[in-house]
Amino acid sequence: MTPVFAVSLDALTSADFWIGVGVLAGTYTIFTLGLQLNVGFTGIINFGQAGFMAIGAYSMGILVVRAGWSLWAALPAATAIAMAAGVLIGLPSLRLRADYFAIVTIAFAEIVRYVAQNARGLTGGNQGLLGFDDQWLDVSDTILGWLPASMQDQFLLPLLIVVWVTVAILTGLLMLLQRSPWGRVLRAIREDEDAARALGKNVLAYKLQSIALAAALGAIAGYFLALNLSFLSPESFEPQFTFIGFTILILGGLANYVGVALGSLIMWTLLEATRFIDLPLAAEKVAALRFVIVGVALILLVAFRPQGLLGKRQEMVLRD
Amino acid sequence: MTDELLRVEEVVKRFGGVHAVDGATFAVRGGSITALIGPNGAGKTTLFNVVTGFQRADRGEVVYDGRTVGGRPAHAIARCGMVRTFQITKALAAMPVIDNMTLAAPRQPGEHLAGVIARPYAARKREKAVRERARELLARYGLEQKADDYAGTLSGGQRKLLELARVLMVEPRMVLLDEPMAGVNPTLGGKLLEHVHALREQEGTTFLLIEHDMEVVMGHSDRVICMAQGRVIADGEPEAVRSDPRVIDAYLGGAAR
Repeated sequence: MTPVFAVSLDALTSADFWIGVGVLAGTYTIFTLGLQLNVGFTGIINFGQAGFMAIGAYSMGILVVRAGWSLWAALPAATAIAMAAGVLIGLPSLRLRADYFAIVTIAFAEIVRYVAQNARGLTGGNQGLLGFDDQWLDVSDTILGWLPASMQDQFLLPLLIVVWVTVAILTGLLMLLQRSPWGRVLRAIREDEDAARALGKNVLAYKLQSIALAAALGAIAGYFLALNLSFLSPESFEPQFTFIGFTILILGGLANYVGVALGSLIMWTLLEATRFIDLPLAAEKVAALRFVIVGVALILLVAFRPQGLLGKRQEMVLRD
Repeated sequence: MTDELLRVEEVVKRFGGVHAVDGATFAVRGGSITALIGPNGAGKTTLFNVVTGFQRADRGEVVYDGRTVGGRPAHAIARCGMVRTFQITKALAAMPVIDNMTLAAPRQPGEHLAGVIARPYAARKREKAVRERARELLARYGLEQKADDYAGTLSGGQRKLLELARVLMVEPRMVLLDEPMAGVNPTLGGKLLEHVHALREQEGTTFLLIEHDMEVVMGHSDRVICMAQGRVIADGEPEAVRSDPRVIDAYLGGAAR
């Protein structure tokens, strides 16, 4: 009897597969750390994270390719640009109710994407932007040189290492911030912003800081995405990427930074492994089915463990 | 009056066509306990919102400690020492009781991003002092056993106590309490009032409270202001206000005679 449904296990045992998954998971961990800061710890719904990622990645690409900057100077500059964009979006719209803010941010992300598509002189439009990663490739080769000979053919390995070192540093920094009095004010705003205001906290200023930091994290994720693809194109920044981020957030658990990495690893393993489902179906149907499987997994999780893998159930229950 | 701490002058606040506050004028003496009474919809809570910067008045002026408050944001007003509570308690439910308290303390350098990074020592030192003060207050308010529990696990009465204790962490000169006795059992309520008196005596804290319990109003306040339909209809000693025919007509009804 021929099986109707099979997963080829060969793919799952190959190093290529896991390095690819690892880079994606690391990139999306950084992306989602920003969402965690906004949604999990400040209580603001940011649906525009893909927009901040695009602003960061494109600013870096344009500064290097069009303006001839060094990559190492372009990275901090692009991060600052993304943060400024966060403040600019936040200033008029953070005074709105949480749900309106969510709508504004998703519109913002779409505007960014359309600009990237149409400002061809700068972004290359749908043709994409190339050639910003020469300096990275030198570093990548140096790192490869330090590795044992048997790993030298894994050219993505340096990126994997750098992305996860970055994840570790950023997660540590965010946890430190969260434990500080600053983080306590954010949590108070999440619980009840009027109470925070009544106790003398400048709620708008804190929300702006939260958005600006999330934008910076989005930008950093954007750099890794760009280095991974060696190529920037508008379709890498579709709104669905923000929602993959939200899925990771729910999977790992709200208000837990370590959960983000765990959620991201599980999400990308699932998304990438389901590519190898062998079904007598057209390729695009299999592609759609991947998301169905991920969706079902998510429904089961929310039904049986609504706080996510590492979230605190008590915090959920207590919050009305 | 020379020793007035708060003056409300001809304040008007409209919502569409409704005049929630319609030209209210009164003053609160420093170190007093003043009660604000009146029927539902008289504009008492709206007035609180205007005074504390949560809503902007359409007309009129609020002067606190000699300075005009109008148009300043709520957090800035709180930092000047005029702090409020809410009719429906706003305990930060998913935060521990102790964090509810330490949050409220002013002058914490660690509350600023730059301070977290550049002044960790100052932040830690301040945190230690704040924690001590918080434990002290929690002990005084009988909440020390609950310090590490989530605030959401407290009873309604305990939440009111926590709110009062938390307000004190801000180091206020004036406290506005919106229905502090609502939903509190008589024993806890009595304690709460004792604390209010103790604070007035020891620290000279001024209290303005919205209250419906006439026994509390008559027994514990130095001055009573009665509002109806957005205006102040009586303002004076408790006894005088109680026997004022306009107050009886608008609020107390025949039964209170």
